[in-house]
Amino acid sequence: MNLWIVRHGQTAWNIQRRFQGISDIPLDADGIQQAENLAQRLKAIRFTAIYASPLSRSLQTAQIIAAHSIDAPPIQTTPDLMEISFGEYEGASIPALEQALPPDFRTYRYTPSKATLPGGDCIAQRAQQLRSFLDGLDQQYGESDDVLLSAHGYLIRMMLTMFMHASLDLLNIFRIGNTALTLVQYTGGQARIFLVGDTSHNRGGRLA
Amino acid sequence: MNLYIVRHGQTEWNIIGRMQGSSDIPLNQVGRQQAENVARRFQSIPLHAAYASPLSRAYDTAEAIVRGRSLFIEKEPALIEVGFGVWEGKSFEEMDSVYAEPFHAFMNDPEHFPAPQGGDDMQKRLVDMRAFLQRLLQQYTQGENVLLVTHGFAIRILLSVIMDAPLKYMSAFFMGNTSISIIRYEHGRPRIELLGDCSHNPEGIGVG
Repeated sequence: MNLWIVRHGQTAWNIQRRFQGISDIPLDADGIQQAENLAQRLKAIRFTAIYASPLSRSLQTAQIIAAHSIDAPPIQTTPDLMEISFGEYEGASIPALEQALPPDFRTYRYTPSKATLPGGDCIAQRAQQLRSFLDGLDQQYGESDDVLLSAHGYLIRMMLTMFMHASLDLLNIFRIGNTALTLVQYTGGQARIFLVGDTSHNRGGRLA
Repeated sequence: MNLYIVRHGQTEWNIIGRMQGSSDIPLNQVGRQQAENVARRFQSIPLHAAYASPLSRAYDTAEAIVRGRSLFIEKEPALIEVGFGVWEGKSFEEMDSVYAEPFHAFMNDPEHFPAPQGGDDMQKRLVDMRAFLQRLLQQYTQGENVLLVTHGFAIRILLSVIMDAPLKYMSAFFMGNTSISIIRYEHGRPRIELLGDCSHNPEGIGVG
């Protein structure tokens, strides 16, 4: 199947550079516009299925895409696509934590495969869940199916390392912007990654 | 330093599905058009330096991008496509049937499975690429844009070096002809901002 993997549009906490995790921060006006831009870009794709994180920033991004899409199927929300829970760090400033680097944050930042966020998710466990979810899709959908996944930055980076059959610890090298589009052909457990992190629809097609 | 990595435009062997490797197969008409398309994407991007594989399909693609700028294209041997020895010129059908086992083994883990007879030594290619990247990092500073025009397998070698991860993990990446990838270095650390953008080509998930 062709996996069309999108990150939600901008929210106020993205701008303020605060960890959102499972806090349900909605799309702001720019985020809605970004989702509209992405929707225009994807409007000719006939999606066989649409899955979204139940968090409103992802769900609404999916809804906007579906609204512009031909014969869009109903959106299925799944906790498997929810963002990582950052526990006690939710709402905290990302730059401040990257500066201070308390020990458990340091582990999360550099060796996520070994990290559990205080009051939040065990990264390896979420990865396992995600793997099962993707394998389930692989079994359910055929080579010519186009499946939209509306998710979150951390999750998408985790997916990329899985598609590479690589260590989770590589994930932080990827930068996935708001409404970035990632396209992966995934069949029989083998992935072909064609596109990662494309946000050019927010710049009228301009590269940078 | 920002690396703008472009894969060459289409050649006749890309279309009919033959292993090119270090064979100097030129751009075909579609490839020349793709080179013009990708050049347009770079219109408002200042470039401080340009390096290209000496093979004409890459060099000619670089020429299209650099045209009109007072920029010299350095021919860089580290960017040349991986030599596939006796496999060069063979069709993909043949590779998937007659040579399936060694071909797939090699493609999935080129560092640990034997290269084809007369083909490149992967360790040497990795060493050369690492040295090239080091030179670039020493020579160019924050915010300077460096264009690299190269080939599919060479890009995997480059990504392996950038990510500091085994080459076998890169076999999931399939970059289209004239795809654009962007790596930003900040304080010496790389971030992958974009991989495989072909939206300037008619079939490549265009904007709108």
